[in-house]
Amino acid sequence: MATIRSVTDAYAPTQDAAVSERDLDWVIVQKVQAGNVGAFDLLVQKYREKIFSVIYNMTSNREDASDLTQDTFIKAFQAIGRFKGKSSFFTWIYRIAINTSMTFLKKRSRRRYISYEKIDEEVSNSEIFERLTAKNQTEKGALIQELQEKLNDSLQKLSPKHRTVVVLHEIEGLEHAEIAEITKTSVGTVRSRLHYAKQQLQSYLQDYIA
Amino acid sequence: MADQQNDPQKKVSLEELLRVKRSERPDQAFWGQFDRELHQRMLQTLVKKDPWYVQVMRGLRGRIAQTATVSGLAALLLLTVGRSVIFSPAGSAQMAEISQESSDFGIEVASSPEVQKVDGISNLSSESIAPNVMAAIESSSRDYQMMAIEGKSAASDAGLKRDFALDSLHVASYDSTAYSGDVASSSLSFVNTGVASLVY
Repeated sequence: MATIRSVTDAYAPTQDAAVSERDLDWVIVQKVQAGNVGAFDLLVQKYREKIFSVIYNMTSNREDASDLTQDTFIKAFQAIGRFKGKSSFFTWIYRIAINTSMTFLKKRSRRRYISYEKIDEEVSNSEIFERLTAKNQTEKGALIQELQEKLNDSLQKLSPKHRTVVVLHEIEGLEHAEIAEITKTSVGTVRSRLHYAKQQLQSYLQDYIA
Repeated sequence: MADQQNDPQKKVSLEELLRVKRSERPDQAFWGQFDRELHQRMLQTLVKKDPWYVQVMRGLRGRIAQTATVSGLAALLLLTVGRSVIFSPAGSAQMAEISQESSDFGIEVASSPEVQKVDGISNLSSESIAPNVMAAIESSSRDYQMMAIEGKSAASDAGLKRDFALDSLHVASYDSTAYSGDVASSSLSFVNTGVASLVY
């Protein structure tokens, strides 16, 4: 913890508006590369929830997502010496996460089970659930559970490539260009995959949308 | 606008449904355990030894790279020194001097350090040796010049012919069997002792 604080302090004076997230990450990466292993914790703390979310939505299994998120950080830690900073650390770690998930999904193709995270209470009280409850004339708790199952099931019906763009764009809120960089494809390919995936999802979830 | 959004009759979009997934988050207890497990695994990674085959491969890669570097540097050094000797003005001047001396005696010094030229000595016959060659041989203290000569004109003295024929045959056979390679590479190297030491 002391290490983390010292690293944070080390670049605190330069932490003005001009310094982007990318530069900030690069400073930490250089610290790790110089042998300050503790600085890697800063990167873990910063990205663990995002990486977990991506992998969880790719696998629809919280235990697998936890293991794969750890795998992602271990791989990043082992390879950080080779990271030259040509892309942002954010892009790099997302790419590792996606590749780790893809490899896992290929192996898991036969054995598929689902275990969900709880939906945040704040969201379950949001107006979208009010509207859905009113429309379907069902009890809210049952509706939330049903919708969660249906959403995860629909995502799992998509191919891993299509699922990746939906997860990164619609759930994580990344730009097309960022997704293209992470998946090493063109922006056009990302748009095309997204369009197709959304068409598929529309048909799977038409009971809630129509 | 707010009323429109809260309108129960308003359709729910796909994007809104997918945004619900953003709220599927683990609690703090989960992250506590996650951090502990991750630190443990990172420590294991730091202290873990690579499998034996990875170590062997790494060692071999290092050895090959080292050998290649040393060989490359040696070859480069040899090429650089060799070129400087062959094309250096000092070397050429010395060669010209030797040629001049030799021509005074009616001897032609081979200008190229090729094996064939030296081996050619074995083909010398007593008739093709000039009489003044013997005098040159006797007066000259540099044996290597003798190895690189060829006769210019026929001799008339039978005694000289016989004597020289024996000598020349001796030298020629000596050259062609044992030293042909060495003489070839060093006929010019004698001019510069530095190269000679490298060649041998």
